[in-house]
Amino acid sequence: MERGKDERLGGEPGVEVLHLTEDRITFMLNNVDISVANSLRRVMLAEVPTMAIDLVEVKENTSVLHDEFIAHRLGLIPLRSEMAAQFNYARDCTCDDSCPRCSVKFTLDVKCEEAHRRNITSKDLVSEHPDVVPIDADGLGDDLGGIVIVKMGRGQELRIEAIARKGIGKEHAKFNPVGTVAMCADGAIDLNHDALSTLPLDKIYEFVNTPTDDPPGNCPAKVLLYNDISKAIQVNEQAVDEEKARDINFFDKMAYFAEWWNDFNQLKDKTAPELIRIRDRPDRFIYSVESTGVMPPALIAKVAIDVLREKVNQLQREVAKGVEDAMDGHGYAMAM
Amino acid sequence: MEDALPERDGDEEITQDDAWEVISAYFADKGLVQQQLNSFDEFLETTMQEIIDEHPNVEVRPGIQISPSQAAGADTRHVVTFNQVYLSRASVVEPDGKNMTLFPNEARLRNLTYACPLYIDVKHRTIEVRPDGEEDVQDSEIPKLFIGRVPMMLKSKFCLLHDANDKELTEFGECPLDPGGYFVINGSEKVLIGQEKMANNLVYVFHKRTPNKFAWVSEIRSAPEAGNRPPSALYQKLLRSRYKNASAGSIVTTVPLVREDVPCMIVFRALGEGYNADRHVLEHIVYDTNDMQMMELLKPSLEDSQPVHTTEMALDYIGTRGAQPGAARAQRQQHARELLVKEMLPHVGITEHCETKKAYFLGYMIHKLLIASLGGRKEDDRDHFAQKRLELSGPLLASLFRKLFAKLKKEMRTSLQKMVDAGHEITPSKAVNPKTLTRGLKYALATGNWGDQQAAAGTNRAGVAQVLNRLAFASSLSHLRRLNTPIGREGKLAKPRQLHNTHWGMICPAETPEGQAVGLVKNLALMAYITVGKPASPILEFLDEWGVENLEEISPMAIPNATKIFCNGAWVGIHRDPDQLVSTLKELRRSVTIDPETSVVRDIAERELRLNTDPGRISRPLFVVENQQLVIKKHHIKLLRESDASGVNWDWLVANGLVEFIDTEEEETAMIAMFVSDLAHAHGMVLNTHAEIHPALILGICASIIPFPDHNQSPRNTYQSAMGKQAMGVYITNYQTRMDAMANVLYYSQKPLACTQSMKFLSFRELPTGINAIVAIACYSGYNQEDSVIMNQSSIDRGFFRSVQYKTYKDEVNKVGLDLAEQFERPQRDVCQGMKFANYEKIDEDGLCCPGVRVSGGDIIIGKTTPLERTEEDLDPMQAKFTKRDMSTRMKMSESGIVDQVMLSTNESGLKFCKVRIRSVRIPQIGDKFASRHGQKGTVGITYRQEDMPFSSEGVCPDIIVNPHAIPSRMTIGHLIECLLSKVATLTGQEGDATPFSKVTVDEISAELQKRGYQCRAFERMYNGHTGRRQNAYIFLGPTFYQRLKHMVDDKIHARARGPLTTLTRQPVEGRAKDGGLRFGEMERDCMISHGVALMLKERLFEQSDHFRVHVCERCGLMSIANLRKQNFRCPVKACQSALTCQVFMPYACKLLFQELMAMQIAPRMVV
Repeated sequence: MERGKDERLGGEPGVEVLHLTEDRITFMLNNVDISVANSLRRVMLAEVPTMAIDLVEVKENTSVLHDEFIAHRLGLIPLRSEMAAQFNYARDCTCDDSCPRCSVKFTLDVKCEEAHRRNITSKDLVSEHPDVVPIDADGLGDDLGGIVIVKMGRGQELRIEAIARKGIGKEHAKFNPVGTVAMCADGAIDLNHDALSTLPLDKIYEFVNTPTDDPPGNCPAKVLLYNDISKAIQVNEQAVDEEKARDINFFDKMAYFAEWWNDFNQLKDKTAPELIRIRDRPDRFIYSVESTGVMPPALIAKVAIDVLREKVNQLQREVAKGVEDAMDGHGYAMAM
Repeated sequence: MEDALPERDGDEEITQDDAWEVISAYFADKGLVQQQLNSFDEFLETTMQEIIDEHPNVEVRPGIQISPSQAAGADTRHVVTFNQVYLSRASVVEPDGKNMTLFPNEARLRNLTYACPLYIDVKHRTIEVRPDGEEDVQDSEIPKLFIGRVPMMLKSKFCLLHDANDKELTEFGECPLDPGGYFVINGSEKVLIGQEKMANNLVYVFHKRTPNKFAWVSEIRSAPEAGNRPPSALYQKLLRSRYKNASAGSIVTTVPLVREDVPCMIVFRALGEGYNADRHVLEHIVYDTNDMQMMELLKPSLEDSQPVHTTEMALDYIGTRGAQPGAARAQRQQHARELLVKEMLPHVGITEHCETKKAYFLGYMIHKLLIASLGGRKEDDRDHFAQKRLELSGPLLASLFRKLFAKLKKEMRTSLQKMVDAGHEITPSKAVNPKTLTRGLKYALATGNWGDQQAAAGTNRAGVAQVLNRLAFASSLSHLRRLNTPIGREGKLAKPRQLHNTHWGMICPAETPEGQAVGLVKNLALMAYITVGKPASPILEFLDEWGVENLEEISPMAIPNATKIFCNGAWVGIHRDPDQLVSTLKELRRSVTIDPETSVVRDIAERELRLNTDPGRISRPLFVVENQQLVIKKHHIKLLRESDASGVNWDWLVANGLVEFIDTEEEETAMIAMFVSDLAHAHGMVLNTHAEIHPALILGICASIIPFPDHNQSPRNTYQSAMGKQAMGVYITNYQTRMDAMANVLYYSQKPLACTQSMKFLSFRELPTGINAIVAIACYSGYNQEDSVIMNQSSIDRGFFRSVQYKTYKDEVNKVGLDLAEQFERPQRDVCQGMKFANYEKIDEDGLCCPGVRVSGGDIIIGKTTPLERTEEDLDPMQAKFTKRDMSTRMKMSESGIVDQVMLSTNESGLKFCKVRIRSVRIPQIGDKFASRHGQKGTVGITYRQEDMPFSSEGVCPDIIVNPHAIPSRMTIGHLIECLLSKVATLTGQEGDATPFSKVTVDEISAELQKRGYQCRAFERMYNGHTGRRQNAYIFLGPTFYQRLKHMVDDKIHARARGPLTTLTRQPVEGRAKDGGLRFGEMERDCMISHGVALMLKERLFEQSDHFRVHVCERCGLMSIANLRKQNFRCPVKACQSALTCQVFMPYACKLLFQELMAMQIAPRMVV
């Protein structure tokens, strides 16, 4: 615990990216309240606009799945949505039905001529827009690549015209750009050194790692070390930092470990002190965001913050308008 | 305990897991509906021919009449004999006369009957007696005369699907997983429900309660093995000694067809000269004449029969109480003699010279009765399963076939008689009406009323044939293994409904309906095997060979020291070394020298050896144990695993004495180890004769799907067994080629993470009925109280528990008059009478709609018209333009969907016939019903999107949140263990084993979970989705297999402001389908009364119901005639004619009542 700094007052909000891959970002949000932190999570899930197939016209379907089934499956295919910002929502668009500004046309026209059977995948979908295309699913699931829409037997045919539109996760989960958004409060490990010092050495070895790690301790990720020289248990802060970036579940694991250890200590004497406590840090939050592939994970976070800011702006405008209206109506401003 | 001796390779004991190899072999060989198939095959192969053979020939001779064609003195007889029967392939005769092979699926689609034509060789012999007495015999043969169609059980030996491989089955439009065992009658699938009945030929002793004048009764329902006639009952009754009668304490016999009880000694005496002396009779009853107690008890009986002391007198005594009491003495005696031979104890023998055996049997019955009255044995247990027999499809059809064949012959005789009397040539082929048999069998199977169509209502057993349940695959399987006990549902007696100890392994302890049929409707356990029945003659021959002493040859004195041998209830003799005999019999059975379904019951206490070969006994296979070790060893299991190469199968195991079938009666004499491991731990305390193959097999189909049922409170397993039948899944793989009246199919069904071993045999992994949902047990927002659940809307969007419902509408063209027929077409307003208020736009010219068209309530989906036949005189100019009447099918008001498939075909009579299948996709919504596999059902209380759901720090949020209050009082621990095991299964990537009675422990599963960095008891730290705050309590979270049940709000939602009324009372109609009102019942009425809201009550019960205005004559108080337009009021009563009228409001029902009373000459006068 850093001394001399009140965690509740904090400083400016900040973001620290802990880990970034093609489909996942892990970052720490500093100096924000839990309400803000949660809003960000909720916006990433529900309000980041993406593209997804929304309207399906079935021209011919002799496959084993009925039209609604295929339409539903088409809707769930993730489409690259980096360009989503450039599209209008269909409900806001000036056009009657659909136009290139609010929708992207897809066609699917396959007939199974193969002797046995054939998988119809997202690769068979032909898009009119070069950037709004099904995600590259090579190496995911089926070894053929692409997301399977339906399996066809010989002679079966599927002809479909579909329209993809812009939407948000609130309308339908298919517009949700993320698989999961994991969020948890950053933790701190508090050790009760007084109580720990009374523990026999073999018990300490059972739970905590030694520098030689022989026998191995049970502590997750070896973040607790027993120093033979100082005869004290230390928290390996570097290991904690590495681990929380790697495993969002780390503080849970520590909590379960702490519970187990404390339970063990309190087995005979219920009033015995806790040996270890995992404490939440109320101003620091770790996120782990997994993209479905529709846009890079960092972009999801960025767009989410844009959406959030736009919401605040909107609120600001509304408040200003409300004040104005109130003044117009009564000739005086309400005392604030 | 390890064996000290060095073991040969493969000679080790098997483990409990190896038992599943044996079980797999059993199911590979027998399948799940073997009882249905075996029984039906037995009927077709043996019983049918037997029935035909046992019927007497049809003999006709000219009636006494004066006819010119009748040559004087010539006497002609015609004898028609039925010989060999033949069964052809299933077929249907099209109206154009073509005989086409019929496959079951075509029968289902076209509403035909899947039946095979039956042919018979008929011999016609004409015997002419010439005046000189010589007989002139002329024979003619009619080979393969068609006598009717026999409905064919699917997958039975003569079915087209028998032995078809998966590819062929698919080509026939069948599901390869479908087990068969049912019939297709008029397109609907019918199952024959096994009927439980008391066994014949067993002697029961019962104690009667005080008001009855008999203290003890021993009874038998005797039926011979071959003769297929109703059993004849015989009772030996011990009169209560207190009973104020001269014959107190004596024993009387109820002999069949004798109206009065006969003192038992008289029956003995009637049997022959040898029983005239009291001593001889007593020897046959007590065996040991030194038994003074028993002798004492017989004293009153002896005194009772004192005046009748010769055979002649005894026969006369019985004869006077027989069917023809008024006949001459000699005739009476002859009649009595015949009665004793033919009707009394027919199972002992129905030929002459069975008197000794019958005397011994009567004596045996009295002996049993006396022992019981002396307290030497207890009253028999009526509910003991050894006393029960199951009547399956074979015996059921046999009894029906017998009746119908008799009817066919009777009709044939009358028809032949007419031919003879008319002097026509005799043609038996014309006298046979095949429709008798065809229609009779079809009627019984179609309606379930087992018996004749003409029989009085209530005389036939109802519900014997039922429509096969196709809600879920498991429900179909379970239906094919169902049993019924035909005693009144309203009977309050608890005993027959209770689970009996002897049900172990035979009847599922969990699967039974709730309510009135509880315990009466049962389901077979997985490994229960119903015996088909084999002739007893091989056993009897064998017994002769092995030193059984015939009853004729022994002295009664020998009986107390020897063992009595019974075969199918008949006492055949005694044996002095039963140990030897029993071990030989068992050895022979284990080498299939005698049939493996024979039961060998050595009753040491009673000194009896009972052998049974009759049909309908319930048995099950067990491991054979010798010297406290299983006979089956590891190397046998190895051979079984390589069954393709080694050829080792179930029959091989039976033939080598490794396993054997033990029926309920023999089970009582066996010592069965529960687990294989128990054998080694016996320490010489017990000597096991058998070991259970696996205790999980005591469960039936539906209970075998429950994970960890051994951790649940028992009624919960019963609830789940009922609920599993309503779960959606893929109910059969050929559902697209079928046109079921209603079907539900789940979009993305998954096989459960927690499986039981038994599921492998139920194809549950192939056709599962649910989804592994992530379930949290938590309180969250309060929308999951009182058995409701919170469901994740985002999961629903992604297809969670989405399903499709198929509904089929059917219509066919009917003949109108002789040459007119209805027509499928789009009705036109200008020529069609009676067109409905509906949308006719969705149908084409041909009266049918296109697949893919969206249809909803009120749309016409099948257009049909019937031509109007009109006479010249009723030509109303307004009606004249109409030449047709609309007969279209309208979709139900509350339904909507998309036309999925339209089928147009012809029915049996060659008329057009169509079926239209509508599909509607059902997305889970508030009010839909879901359940886990532990009797935990709930409806959706609210749906939350992913961001509003609680989440773990991994970002996992539940699909379903159930309330923790659902757990403590219901004690469904299996639910929790399933969740824990499934969580481990997701992490290890393996299926979890949730088989009951296995050695898996919660601690083991928890340790595995902890090893993977999770809280060991599957708890998670979770965050509130709305606020992001961590919740104080840990939440139990993990995957649990959930089922979607068929009850959905969209099918139930109903409200009405005003709508249709019933014509009679003008009150609102009832029911959602008719847009009826919601009943304001007594309790609601009481509530309003106690609230004192009279006007509210009046509004509900009167103004909103059948509000009506009548005019009442003020003078006479009867209803008067009012013409409001002319303001003219007049009382119709002749004597009154008053114009003083008063207006009164009353319910229409009240007015109706008054008018009805008036029709009954009662004047209800209203004082106004």
